[in-house]
Amino acid sequence: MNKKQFISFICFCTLAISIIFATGQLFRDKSTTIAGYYSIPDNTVDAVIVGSSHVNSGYIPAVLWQEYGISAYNVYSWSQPVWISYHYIEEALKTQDIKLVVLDMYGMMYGNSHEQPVEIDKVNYRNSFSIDVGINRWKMMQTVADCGIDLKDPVEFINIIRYHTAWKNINKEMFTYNNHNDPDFFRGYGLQTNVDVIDAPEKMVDAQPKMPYDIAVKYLDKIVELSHKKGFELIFTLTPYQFYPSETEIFLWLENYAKEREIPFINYAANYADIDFDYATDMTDMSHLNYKGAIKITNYLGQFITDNYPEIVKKDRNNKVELDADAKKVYRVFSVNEMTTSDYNNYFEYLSNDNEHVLFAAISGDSTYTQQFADACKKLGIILTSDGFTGVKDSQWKQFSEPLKMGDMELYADQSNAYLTVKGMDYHGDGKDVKFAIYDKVLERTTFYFYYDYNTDSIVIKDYPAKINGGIYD
Amino acid sequence: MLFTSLEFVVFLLFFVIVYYTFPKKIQWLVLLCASLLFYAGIGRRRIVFICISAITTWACTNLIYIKHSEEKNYLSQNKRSLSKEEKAVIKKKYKNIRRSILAVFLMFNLGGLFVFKFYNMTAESISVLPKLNLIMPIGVSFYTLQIIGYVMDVYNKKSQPEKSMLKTMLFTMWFPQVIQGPIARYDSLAPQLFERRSFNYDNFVLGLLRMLWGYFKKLVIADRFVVIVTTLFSNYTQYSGFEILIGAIIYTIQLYADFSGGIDIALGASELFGVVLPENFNRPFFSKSISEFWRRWHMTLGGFLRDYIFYPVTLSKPLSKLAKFFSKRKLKWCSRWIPAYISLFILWFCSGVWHGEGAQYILYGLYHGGLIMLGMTFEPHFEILCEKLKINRFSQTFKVFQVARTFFLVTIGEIIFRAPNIPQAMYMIKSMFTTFNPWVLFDGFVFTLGLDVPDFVVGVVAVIILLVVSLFNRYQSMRHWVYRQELPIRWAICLAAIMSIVLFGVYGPGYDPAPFIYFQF
Repeated sequence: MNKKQFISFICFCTLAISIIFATGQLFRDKSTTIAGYYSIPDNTVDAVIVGSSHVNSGYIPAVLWQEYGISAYNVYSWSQPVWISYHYIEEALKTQDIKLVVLDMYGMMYGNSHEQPVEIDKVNYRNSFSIDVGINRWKMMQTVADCGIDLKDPVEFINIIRYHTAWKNINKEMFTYNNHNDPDFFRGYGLQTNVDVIDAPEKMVDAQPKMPYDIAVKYLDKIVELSHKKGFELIFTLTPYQFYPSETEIFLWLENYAKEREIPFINYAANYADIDFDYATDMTDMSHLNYKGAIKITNYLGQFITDNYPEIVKKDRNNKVELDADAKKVYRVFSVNEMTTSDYNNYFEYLSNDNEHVLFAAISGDSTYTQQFADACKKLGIILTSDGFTGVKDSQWKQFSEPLKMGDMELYADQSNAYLTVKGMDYHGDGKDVKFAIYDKVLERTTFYFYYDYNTDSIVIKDYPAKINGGIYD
Repeated sequence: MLFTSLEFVVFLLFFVIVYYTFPKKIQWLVLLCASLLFYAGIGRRRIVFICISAITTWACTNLIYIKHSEEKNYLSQNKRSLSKEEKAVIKKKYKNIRRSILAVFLMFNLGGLFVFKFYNMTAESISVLPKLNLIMPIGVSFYTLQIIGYVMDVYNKKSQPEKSMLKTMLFTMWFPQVIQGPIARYDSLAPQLFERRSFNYDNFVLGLLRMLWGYFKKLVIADRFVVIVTTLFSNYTQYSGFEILIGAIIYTIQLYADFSGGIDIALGASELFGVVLPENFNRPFFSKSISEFWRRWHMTLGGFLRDYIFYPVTLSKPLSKLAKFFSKRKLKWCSRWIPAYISLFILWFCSGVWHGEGAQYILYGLYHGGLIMLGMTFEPHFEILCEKLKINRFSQTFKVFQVARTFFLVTIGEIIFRAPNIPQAMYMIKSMFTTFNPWVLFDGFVFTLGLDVPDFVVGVVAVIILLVVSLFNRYQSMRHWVYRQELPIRWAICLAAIMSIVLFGVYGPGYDPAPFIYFQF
C-alpha cells in the first residue's frame, strides 16, 4: 500500500463512518428525558435530583427556586436503576458545576420492589440511552452486558444499529429537532394531578438490614466515590410509594450505609407522617406522587437543603430572570389545574378576562349545529361576536380558509367537518359535539381540551393540563 | 462469532493488521491463531473434535506417505533380488497397510460425522440406544470432506503430505471457510496459507468489496425473507396453489442469497489475507438443466462428490464387471446407462445424507439425482421431438424456457429441502398443484406473510439488484469493474452499498440474528 492508497483508504473510511454516524444521529429516538437539561445554559444549576420516574413526579424544581432560591433540575429516566443514575450524574456534570446531588434510592430496590427486574430493564433500555454520544454513553452501554437481569449486547445500543429501521418513518422532525434546544420550564418535573387513594404501606416488624442487589451497591459506591472526586455533596432520598414490608430491610441497610459515610438519607417513604404526607390524598398511583404530594416533599427537601447547605441557596443569580419565568409558568399550570378540577365556570370566566389564552373551537358543518354551537358557547360563558363556526380567537370570530396552527394545536376544515387536533390527535365524541381547545400563549401549548356534547348537554373533558407535560411513563 | 456480527468485522480487521505487520516467516502462525480463536469463539468445547480431526489427518497423511516411501525404497534397494511375484506381494502388503491407515482415518472422521449428525436421530427411533448430549462441531460436514479429499490425494499420490502438524491444523480450520465452505483442495489452498506475502492493496479492496456484496445478500435479502418463509412453512396447511409457489420461490431466493452471501463473505475475508478460495457459485439460476445447475451451485461439493465418489464408484471393479456383463450380452443401453445410474444414485444419496439428518434431505438428493437421470435418458428423445416440432433449441426463447423450467424444478426441490419432514413436503407440493389461485399474486397476499409493504419493496428491489449484478457478472466481474472506476464513482457506489446494508439490513435489537442456513451442516 503506497502513501496515496493509504490516505485514500483512510479518507473513505472516515467518510463512511461519518455518514453512518450522522444517520444514526438523525434516526435516533429524540424523546429523551434529558433534553430539557441539555437546553439550559452551562453552569446555571447547583443541584440535580437524580433517579427514576419517582424523581420526575416527586420533586418540583420551580418550588425549590421560588421558595428557597435553589437552582435545581430533575435528571431522570423511566425505571432508572442506580447504575444508570451513575452515568446520568456523569452526564449532568459535563455542563453544570453541580454542588449537590439528590439521589433517589428507588433504584436501589431493584429486585426487591413490586416492579419486576426484567420489566425495569426493558423500560430502562427503551428510555435511558437517549443521551448524547460520548465516552459516558459508551460506558453506560457497557453496563447492559453485566448489570440487571435482561442482559444485552452493548453493540445493540449503538444508534445506527438500534434505529436503522427508522427509514420507514422518515419525517421532518428527524432533520429539524435539536435536543439541545428543547427547553422545559418544568425542569424535569412531570405534573400529576390525579388522586389515587393508596393504603399506607406497612413496615416490617423486627426487620434486619438486608443488602440490596450487589451491582446496585457497586454503583452506589461509585457514586459516593464520584462525589468525593468531583467535590459535590450527596443526599439520599426515597419518595413515598407503596413498598413491600420486606423492603424495610433494604431501607435499614441504606440507612446504615448512609450513616457510615455521613450522607443524609431522607426516607419520605417510611417516614411520611413526619412531613404530613398522606397516601390517601397525595399519590397519583401506587408509585408516584400527585403535585400536592410533590409540593410537600419538595418543600421538605428545600428546607433541609437551606438548613444544611446554605451555600447552595442563592436567590440572586445571573439566570434569575429565566428561573423566575420558568417558575411563573409552573405556578400558572398549577392555578389552571386548580380551577379546572374544581369549577369550570370559574375557569371560563377567568379565560374571558385573560388575553394570554386563545380559545379554538370546531364544529361539524351541518348548519343546524351553528345554533347549537352558539348555545354551547353561551352555556360556557363565552361571548361570541359573530356566527361563524370555524374558530374563535381572542373573543373575536375569525373564519379560516387555511388550516390554522398554533403550537401543538391545529384547526382545519374539509367540505363537511371541522377538525381540531392536539399533538396530531383528533379527539371527538360521536359527532354531535363542539370541540374546544384552549391554547395558552404563556405556556405555548394547549392546556385544555374538551367538547360539548349536544346529546347529554354536558362538557366532556379530554385532557388536563397535566398531561401536556408527558405524564408518567408507566 | 457470526460473520454478520460487528465482533467478526473487528476480529477480521485486527488479524489483517497483525498478519501484515508480523514477520513473514511466522505469518501462517497468525492465521492459525486467528482460526483457533475464531473457532473457540463459536464454542470452546467444539474445538476439541476439529483439533483431533486435524491431528488424525496429519498423522494419517504422513503415515501413508512413510509407507509409500518405505515401499519405494525397499523395492528400489532390492530391485534385482526380488522376483516379480515377490514384488507384487510387497506392493500388496504396503497397499494393505496404507488402506488400513486410510480406513482408520475414515472410520474416525466419517464415523465422527455420522455420530454427530445421526446418532441422536437413530437413538430416538431405537429406544435401546441412549441419547447423548453431543455438541456438534460447527462446519463438521465441510472440513471433514476437505480433509478426506486431502488424505485421499495423499493416498493416491496426487499430493505430498504436510509435515507440520500445526500447518495441517491451519489447513483444516482456516477460519473464513471452516463453517460453511467452500470445500477447498489441499494443493490449491495450503500453499497459499503458508506463503510469505506482503500487503496488496488491490487484493485487500477487492476482498472488502466481495464481503460487502456478501453482506448485502445475507442481510438485505436472505434475512428479510426469513419471516415470509417461516410463516408459510410453519402454517403450510393454510396455504395452497400459488401461495405455496410464492413461498417456495422466495425460499429459493433466500437460500441462494444466504448461502452465496456467506460464501462471498468467506471468499472476501480470505482474500484480505491474500488467500483465494475456490468459487462455489456461478449464477446457478441461469442454468438450462438440473445437471448444469449442479455444476453452478455449491460447486466445490459437486466437485468433491464427482472426484471422490462418482469417479471411483464408476471405475470400481463391480461396476466395470457389470458393464462388461451387459456388453457381453449385447445390451448396449444397459451397459452404458445402468452403471452410470448406480453411480449417480450413490452420489445423490451421499449428497442427501451429507446435507442433514432428516429423510427429506435424502429425498432431496435423490430428487435431483432422479431429474438428472431422467434428463440423461430422455435428452435424445427430446432432441428428436424438438426437431419434429421444428423447435429451434438454440433460440433465446427456448433458452429462457429452459432456464424457467430448471428454476421451477429447483424450486420444488427446495420445498423438500426446507420442509421439516417428507409428509409436509409432499403435502405442500401436492397442494401447490391441486389449487389454481393466481390472483394471490395481485391481491396483496404477500403482505400478509409478516413483511410490511416498505420491507417487501426493499426485498424486491434488492432481488432485482441481485439479478442485474448476476447478468453483469456474465461479462465481467462487477467488483473489478467498480474498482476500475474513477474515485468519485467508486466511492459513491461503495458508500451506497454500505448504506444500503446499514439501513436496509435485517439486524439489531428486535431481530433474532438468523444463522446461515448451511451453518447447520
